[in-house]
Amino acid sequence: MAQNPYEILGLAKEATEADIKAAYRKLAKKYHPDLNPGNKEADAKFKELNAANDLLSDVEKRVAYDRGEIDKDGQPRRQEQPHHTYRDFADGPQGNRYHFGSKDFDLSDLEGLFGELGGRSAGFRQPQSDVHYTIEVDFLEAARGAKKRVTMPDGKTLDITLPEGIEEGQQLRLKGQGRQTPKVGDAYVGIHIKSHPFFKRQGNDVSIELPIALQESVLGTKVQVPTIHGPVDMTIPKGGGSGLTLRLKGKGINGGDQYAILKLVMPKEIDSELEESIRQWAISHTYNPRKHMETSV
Amino acid sequence: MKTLEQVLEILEARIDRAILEDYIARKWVRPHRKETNWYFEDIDIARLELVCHLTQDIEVNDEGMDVVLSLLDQLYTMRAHMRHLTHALTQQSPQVQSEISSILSRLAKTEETS
Repeated sequence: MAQNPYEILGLAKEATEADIKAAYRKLAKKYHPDLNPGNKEADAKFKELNAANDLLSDVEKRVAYDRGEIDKDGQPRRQEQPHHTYRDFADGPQGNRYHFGSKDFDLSDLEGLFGELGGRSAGFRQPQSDVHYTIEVDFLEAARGAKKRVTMPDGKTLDITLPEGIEEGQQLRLKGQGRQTPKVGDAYVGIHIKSHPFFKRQGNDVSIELPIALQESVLGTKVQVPTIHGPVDMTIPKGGGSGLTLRLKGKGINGGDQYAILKLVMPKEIDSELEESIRQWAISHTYNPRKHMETSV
Repeated sequence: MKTLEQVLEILEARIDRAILEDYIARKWVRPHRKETNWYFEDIDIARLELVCHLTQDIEVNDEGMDVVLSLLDQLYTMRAHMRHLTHALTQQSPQVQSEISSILSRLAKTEETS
């Protein structure tokens, strides 16, 4: 504090007003307390700067000071009345008005903070006691439920009970199967269901595309249809063609239904016998299944 | 809480109504709004003084101001977190506290050497 205001601003006595302004601006940028929170030295320096600037930027006061009429603390307005800077409020209870993110502090913020700091100094990271895995399960295991013993990539073996109808992306929590850090964590097992060659799933309903032969379609028949609970008999009605959907009640998941969507499959080869008989039939039976399209176009 | 008129009076010649409204529009200060009036808490006024200081004395431009204020807000958020954390640590037993301070000094040393 023994410095005179010129020294504080790093100026000579001959400095112009512009010099003073420039020097103050440069130093104020460096020492502004709001830009240096917690730095007492910067705080003190900034107060000095302000006092020096107040004195030197006021022509009357500067002249008075140069003449020795007032000392460097001649009229230090800013030092006498306690001046609250933004920091006093920003660090106070009102501060959260301008805080980033959530207004209140909660523990998840702390976790985030640990995470950010942990990137640099691994020792500070909070040990994670929960572990996360993903397993692939077969379509039928997921549909019917199953008990599985699975060895995870980290060597841990888990006994997993899949409830009937577990869905893609669902997570199972195995209490106490995580790491001991010393808190005993849980294991979370994410479920990925493999697709099935012919069963498809919409919630608890299962659908299947059921190929039928020409004669089955024309004459009707009884066929065996696979369901997730094993094969069941189903009647194909006479004339049941492609797209006809038949329901097998309760044969889906958890009391859901199974739908069989018929798909007419023509014989590999149209032999002359078939060709001739259809030709004969067509002479007296014309029907146009596209009739409804003609009127609307 | 003070009205916009009172705030203009407090800041005397440092700012006029148009500039203050511009600062509010830019969300540099965020006073409370009731019907058509603005109401300023102490922190809003102090922040306004800071913004005036940065724009007028240090000549931070508009784009720079967005950056400066965003960094400041992050800094003060972080400081609040640190205060809470410090407070939580002071609630721990002396044994835990000394363990933590030894971890911290160990970390400080590894940072120095790395």
